[in-house]
Amino acid sequence: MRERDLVEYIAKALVENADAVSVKEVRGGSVTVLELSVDESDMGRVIGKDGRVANAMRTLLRVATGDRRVVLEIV
Amino acid sequence: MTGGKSGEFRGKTVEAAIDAGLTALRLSRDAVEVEIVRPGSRGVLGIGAEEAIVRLTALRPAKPESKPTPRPEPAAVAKPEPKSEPKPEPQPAPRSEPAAVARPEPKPTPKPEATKTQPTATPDDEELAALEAGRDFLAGLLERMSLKAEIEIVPQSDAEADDDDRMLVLNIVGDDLGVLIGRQNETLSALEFITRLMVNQQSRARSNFIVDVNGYRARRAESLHKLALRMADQVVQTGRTMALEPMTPAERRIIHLALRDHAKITTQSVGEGDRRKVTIIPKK
Repeated sequence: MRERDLVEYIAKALVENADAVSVKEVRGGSVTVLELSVDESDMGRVIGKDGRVANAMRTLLRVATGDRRVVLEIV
Repeated sequence: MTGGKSGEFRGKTVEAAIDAGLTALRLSRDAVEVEIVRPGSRGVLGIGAEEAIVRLTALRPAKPESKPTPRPEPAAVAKPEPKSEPKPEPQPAPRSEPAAVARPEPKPTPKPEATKTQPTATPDDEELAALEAGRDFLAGLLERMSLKAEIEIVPQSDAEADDDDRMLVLNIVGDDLGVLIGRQNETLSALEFITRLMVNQQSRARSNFIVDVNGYRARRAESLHKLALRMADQVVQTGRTMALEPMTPAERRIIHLALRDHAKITTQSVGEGDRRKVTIIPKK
């Protein structure tokens, strides 16, 4: 699924430990949740100050998804 | 060949391509030899338009000053190239094509050498490498967002640029890219933010470039510039302080720059966060 790819692509480019990046897709009725997990030490890199990085990812995700609701969570 | 700096540059027109090259190489027009690789064409109504490609070669071999003291080189991951020696000939740089997002449909724009803005041994070596890395990353992003577009490297527009510090722009060109701008260019900001972050993460260098979509920022900068001048006139006439709409930092900067040398008014930003706006104040 390409939203998953998008998140994984961005995350891998931002972290130190790219191998530890994984994105799990959890489909609900109308909502799809993408659970991004990264190495503990990389958490800050995918969240950013005041969540700026995470929010930028969500913004780009919205473009990619269109109507369906996709939620990005960092776990 | 002089063995000087050289590189290929692209732009909408030959002139634009030359400008981009001169900016990138930090050379003036008379210090380079220009070879037109492909003149490009406007196409009909933008269909079939072809970018111009020029090759610029510095007339003198690299000056001592233009040879960068080999900086402690934090290997730019995306550019595994030796950096601090002048390359007499462009190398087939090991780049991951396509930097311009692959466009599968048969538009009449053959891209035989899709992306060969070669980083050469210039003082801006790192900057160019960063720019290329940014372009590649951006292309990957667009591809994963299912958008068809190309990315050109152009110099910053006059209205946006500070005279002594003109940045380069990764301009995304394509149809129906309004989604990439978003409300109050929220999406464009996110795109630029992520792309810069990624380049900085990979190269450990602070790179500065701008991401634009179909020249949106450039046009917006132009109209902000005009707005600033108009409002300044009004302030001068009425003698009253005036506040503009809330703007992003980049937009406020354009206003400040536009009025920097104005004799009769000064500018100041007031307010916090999203509400921060420029006020134009008459000088006493």
